[in-house]
This record gives sequence, structure tokens and C-alpha cells, in this order.
Amino acid sequence: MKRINFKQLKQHLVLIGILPITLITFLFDYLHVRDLGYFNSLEYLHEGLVSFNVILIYFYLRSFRIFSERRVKKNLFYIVVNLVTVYLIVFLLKLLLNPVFIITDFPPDANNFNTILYANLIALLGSFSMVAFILSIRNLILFKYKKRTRLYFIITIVLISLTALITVILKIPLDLSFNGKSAYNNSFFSLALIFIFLLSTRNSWITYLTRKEKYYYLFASFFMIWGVSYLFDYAYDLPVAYHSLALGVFINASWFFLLFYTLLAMLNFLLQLPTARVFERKMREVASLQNLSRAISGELDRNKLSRLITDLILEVTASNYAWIELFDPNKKALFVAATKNLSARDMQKLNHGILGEFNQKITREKRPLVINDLHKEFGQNYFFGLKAAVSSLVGIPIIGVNHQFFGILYAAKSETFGFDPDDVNLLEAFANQVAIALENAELLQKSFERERLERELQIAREVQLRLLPQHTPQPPSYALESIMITAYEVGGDYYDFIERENGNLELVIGDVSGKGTSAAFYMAETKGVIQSMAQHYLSPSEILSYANRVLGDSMEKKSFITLLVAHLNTQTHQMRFARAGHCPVLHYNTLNRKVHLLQPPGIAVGLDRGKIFDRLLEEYHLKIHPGDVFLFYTDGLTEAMNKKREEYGEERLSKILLKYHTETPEIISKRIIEDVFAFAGKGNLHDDLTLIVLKRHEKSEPSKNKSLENKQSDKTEALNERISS
Amino acid sequence: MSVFQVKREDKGDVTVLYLSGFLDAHTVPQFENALQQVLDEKRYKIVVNFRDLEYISSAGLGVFMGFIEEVRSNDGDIKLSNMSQRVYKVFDLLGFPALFEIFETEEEAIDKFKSTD
Repeated sequence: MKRINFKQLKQHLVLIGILPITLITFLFDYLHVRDLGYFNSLEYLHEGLVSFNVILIYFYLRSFRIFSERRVKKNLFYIVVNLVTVYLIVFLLKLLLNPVFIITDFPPDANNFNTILYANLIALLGSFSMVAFILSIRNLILFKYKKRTRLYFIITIVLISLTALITVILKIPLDLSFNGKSAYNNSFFSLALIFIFLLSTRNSWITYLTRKEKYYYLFASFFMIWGVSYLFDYAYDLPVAYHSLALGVFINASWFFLLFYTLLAMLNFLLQLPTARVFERKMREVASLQNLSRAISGELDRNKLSRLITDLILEVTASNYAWIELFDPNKKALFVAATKNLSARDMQKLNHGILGEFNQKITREKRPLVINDLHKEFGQNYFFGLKAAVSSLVGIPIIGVNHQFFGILYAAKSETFGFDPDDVNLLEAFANQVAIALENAELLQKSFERERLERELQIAREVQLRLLPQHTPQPPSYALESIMITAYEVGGDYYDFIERENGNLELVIGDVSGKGTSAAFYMAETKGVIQSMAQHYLSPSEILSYANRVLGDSMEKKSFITLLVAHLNTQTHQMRFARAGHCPVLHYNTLNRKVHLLQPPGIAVGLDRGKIFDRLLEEYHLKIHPGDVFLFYTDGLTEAMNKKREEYGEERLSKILLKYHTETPEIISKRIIEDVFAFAGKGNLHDDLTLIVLKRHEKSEPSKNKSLENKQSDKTEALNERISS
Repeated sequence: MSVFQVKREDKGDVTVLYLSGFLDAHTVPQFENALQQVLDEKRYKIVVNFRDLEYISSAGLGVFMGFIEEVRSNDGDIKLSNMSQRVYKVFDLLGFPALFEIFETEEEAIDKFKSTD
């Protein structure tokens, strides 16, 4: 608020400056100061004051909002209002004051009060009106800012100031003659006029008018020219020259500016009329393409996109009908995605391939098809099926960057020869935009899908890792080590330990078929079921049987879970375990120094809902001797593949176990993993790999075996041996 | 990876599917489509010949579980034949021999269909 008040204050101050100066200059005229002769400097003061007044008026008017208006029509309106107002006021003043000027000499003179008053009032009016004209025209020029506009304005002002100065000193009229002394001021004035002319050519706002407006304004400009050209002689010539020569120069120059500007604008209206239609159309095309690309950049829905485009086709090509047929890669056929002005029945007929002949041709040739006169070229009956009155038609293939065929865009008119080459070009541009949009939509869809899958896998992986035990228990007189190496894709490996207060331990290992969230879900369910069953001190086979019944009900037909549950009694050193389709257990037996592959019968959880599963399931009971080692693992280990597509297999695993059985489980598992990696290559695991190593301490605490080397020979023969149950 | 392929041959009312290459999570849909097509034709006597199959993953085994119910409820069966040692081991480990009939040769499998008719 304060700021506005300050601005208003400034405005008022300027006005307060203008009024006394006007009054003083009036007094100069009234008292005939210039006739005193010996006081010539007073006359210069008079001229100076009048000039200063013009500058004040400029600042005063500039502070009004209407003179910073950038809209073309408003400015044109202000110019017309300005002109009409001046005529009206001058007419009234002439009527009231009836001025008489003595024109025998230059500058003209006056010797009655009415004439002097008239001259002063006109001078004031002229100052205001001309400054206002300049401001309005300046706004029009600045519609499109060009490099030297400002420079030209400054040069013009300097030239006019010089002209005014010389005119005041020499008292010679600006009649554009170059005789004698008049050459001085007139040559500067001519130069100024050249720059005024240059400024007057800046009327690019005309280009962007509509065709109708151009007609209208051309008509109006005839009257403007008439009004403007008569203005100077009618209103300003004598009174202003009498009042002040400097002001005369200024008004004369600005009048020329107004005249030139009006003339050139009229000329431009005239010149642009023949191209107005084309220009307008191009503008519409640009605008519609812009609209199109803006609208489609975010549009993923093909049908919405198609509707948008048909709307634009009608708008820009003035077609009567438009429709888009898109290619469905699944059905390998075109379907109508959007229509404009076609009835539902017509659309149905299009869908049934009434234009099949055209479709085939366009699809085959991948070029636009233009038919100027359907009836002539295809007979009266070609479109008998359609209600729409179609006489000319264009079909454009929609082809992507990689020559992918997306469909066809059609536009039709009721008149023959409705489409010129320009229309076809435009429609092709449309089709390109559509192709880009469709491609974008497809890519986006794919990346959404991929992102979703990746996120799903990530979640599944997180769930899987969270389900695993946080630490590996160490039951009394045993050592335990577990390791899981995850592949890039979620494999579905799972293991768990359930510790008892008495030091006993349940060991679970499994592999869920399937990937992603469903695998993670089954895993969680499995863990829950087994944990709760183990609380009831059930045997491994009972636990598995129960798990099969519970899990089997909720599982998909084609998924299954392999599971192995082992119960370790640390007091009696007994192990009981059962296997539901899971990999066998490798057992290093210290008694015979051999590695045994333990594979009790049992089918995977989820393959059978009850009877067969229970009937086949068997439980093994083993005595564990000091130094015995057990390996539990998933198929990711034994099925790890090398470049020759050989599997790692149980034999290699047994060999390593035999070689390192005297080591701690930690070392044994390390050696095994090293060997698997050496075999398959570290980055080549395509499945999760889990390994659990359980070892009973040797009687004399775990220490390195002294005679590892000589034992090696007789152990190798046990490699392939399988235990018989 | 050697390409996975399914070839089909109709021998009387028995349809034989010949698998070759790697059957894993990536190639499973191909096998599923082939089986579905056979079922769509209401042919429920199917022999899957594993002669040229190099590898099968657990997802590959899942396919059989996914279809067997529908086949058997239509008085048909899926019988398996010509498995390599390596492929048989996978089936055996999971306990499939208890659920599916596995034959040495394709002819034995077809004969079994005929004898039960």
C-alpha cells in the first residue's frame, strides 16, 4: 500500500510541475515577451520550459497503467480514442474561441486573447496527445522486441532535439526544403524521419492477427489514414508554431511517426491478406501439434490418446469424420480405437473390416493413401455400408521409429477433393506424433512392469533373508556352521534351527519351488508350521506329514517344497531325520572312515495331499560318533554347473568332505564353497546355495588329524557308496 | 544354453511330446503352452519323451503337477519315458516315481495306455 501511495504522490508532483509551467508559458505569450526584442534569452527560456513540459508530460503519462499495456487491440483502441478526442476538442475550441493567426511571417503571430488562449490550449493538448500516441505505438513495436529498437528511439530523439534547437535559433519552418539556412534543420529532420520510418516498419503484431481481424483492421486503417493525415493541418500547424517552435518540431515529428506507422500498418494489412488464410492455418497446425505433443506426452491410455487425436484432426483439417484403427498384435488385426462423428453402427462396420481393402493397401505399402473422389474411383456403392457421407478420404499409417506398425489414422470429408498435399503432410505429422506416443506408452508400461517385478523380487529376497535364523546355535559337544549364497534371482532356499532347553536341536532345510513373492510366502508359512509343530516334540516324520497337510491345501498345484527335518539329541548322540523330496544328507562316518549318502524315501511337500506322502515317508535313526560330520545342502550346491554344463554333484562334495573332515565345520564349509566356485565360476550360480555342516567334537577336543595323508587312499573307494536302508 | 524345444506327434489316441534342451523357469511357459494345446483338443493320453532333454529344474517338474489333475480327471494320464540318468535323478529325489509312471521306452508307455483301455 505504501508503495502505491508513493507512486501516486510522484504522479501528482509531476502534474503540479506541468501546470505552473503551462501557466508561465501562457503568460509569456500573453505579455508578448518575445516582442520585447532586447530580451531574446527570455524566448529561449520559454522554449526550454515548453520542451521541459513535454518531458514532464511523458513521465506523467508513462506512469499510467494503460500506457504499459502490451495487448495489441487495447493499444489500437487507445490510438483511435486519442485521435477522436483530439478532433473533438479542437473542433469545440475553434468554435468557442474563433482564433485568428497572422501568417505573414514565420513563426505565425496572434494578437487577441482568444487566439493566444487557443494556441496555448492546443499546445497543451498536442503535448499530451502526441506523447500518448508515441507510448501506444511504442507498445505495439515492442510486441516483438528487435535488436536495435531502443537505439533507433534514442537516435530519433537526439535528431529531433537537434532539429528543434536549430529551428528555434534560426526560426525556419520545417518544410523539408533545403534552400539556404533551411538546409540545417531540415536535414536533421529528414534524418529523424528516416529513423521514424524504420521504427514504423516494426509492426509484426499484424502477422499474428486472424484473417478476419486483418480484413477488419485494413478497413479501419483507411479511416485512420484520413484522420491522421488531416490532423496536423487541422489542429496543430499554426497554433503550436506560434506558441513554441520546439514543441512544433516535436509535434510535427510525432505526427509523422503516427502517419508512417498507420500507413505502413495499412500496407502490411494489405500485403498479408492473400497469405492470411495460409498463415492462419500454419498457426493452427503449429498450435495443434504443440497441443498434441503436450497432451500425449503424459497419456498412457491408447484409447484416450486416440480420441484426443481424432478431435484434433477435425479441428485442424476441417474434416467431417476421423477415426483411428490400431493394430492388436495378439489378434493380428486392426480395431477401431476412436471415431469422430461416426455412428456406433458405422464404427462396428469399420471393425468388421468394411475398409479392409484400404487397410491392406496402407499396411502393405506403408504410405499415405489419398482418395479424392470415392464415388468416381470405387463406384457409388463403395460406402453403401456406412451412414456417413464420405466422398474423399485419407489414410495414414502410424509407424514407429523402428518401423513398427501401430495402426492407421483416417480422415474423411463429405466433399470431393477435400485434402490437399498440405493436409496430408499435416496428417503424417500427426501420425508420427501418435507413433511416438504409442511407443512411449509401451516403453513406460514395460519399465513399470520390470520395476514392479524387481521390487517384488527385492521384497521376496528381504522376506527370505529375514526368515533365516539370526545366529547359528552351538549345541554342547557339537559344532555347527551354516552358509547361504544367494543367486541373482530369488531361489527359495530356506533353513532354520530350533533350539531346545536341554541342548537338543531341530534342524530344518528346504527349497521352495517358484520365485518371487509366492516363494517368500510359502517359505514364511513353512517356517510357521514347522516352528509350531516342533513345540509339540513331534518326530521329524510327524512334523513333515503335518506340514504337508497344512501347506498342501494352500499351495498352487504346480508348486512344491522340498524339506528335510533332523532332530539331534545331544545327550544320547542320536539323530533322527526324514526327507520330503529334499537333497540327501552326506555323512562322514568315523567308524569306517567313509562318506555315506543318506537318502530316506519321501516325496516333496505339495505333490500329494496325504496318503501317498505319508506312506512313502521314512525316518532314519543314526548313532553319531565323535568326529562324525554331516552335510545338509540344497540342490543349488550339487547342481551348480560349469561351462561344459556338468553338475558339481555329490561325488565332488564327498571328496572334499573326506579330505577335510578333520577340520572344524567352519573350515569344511569354506573349502566346499571354494571348490564349488572353482568348479562353476563365482558369478555363474543360477540358484541359491545353502550348506549346513554339523560335526560332533572328537574325543580329544577338535585338533588337526596327524595322519591325514595315509588315510586318503582307503577312503576314496567309499566315494560312490550309497547306504542301504 | 541349448534351446528348449517341444515336438509333438500323435500316435493313435496317444500324444507324444518330445522334449529337448533345458527345461527351466525360462522355458517352462513353452512347455505349458504345448501341453495346454493338447488338452484343448481333449486329448488326455500323453507320453512325454525325455530322450533329448539335458536338464530339468524344479519349475519344470511343477508343470507336470499343474496338469496331472485335469488329465486324470478325464481318464487320461501323463506317462514319462526315455529319461537320462541325470534327469531321472531329479525326478527321483523329489519322489515323482511314486506319482508318475516312468518307462524306459516310449513304446512301453504307449503299450501301457493300450493295455489299460
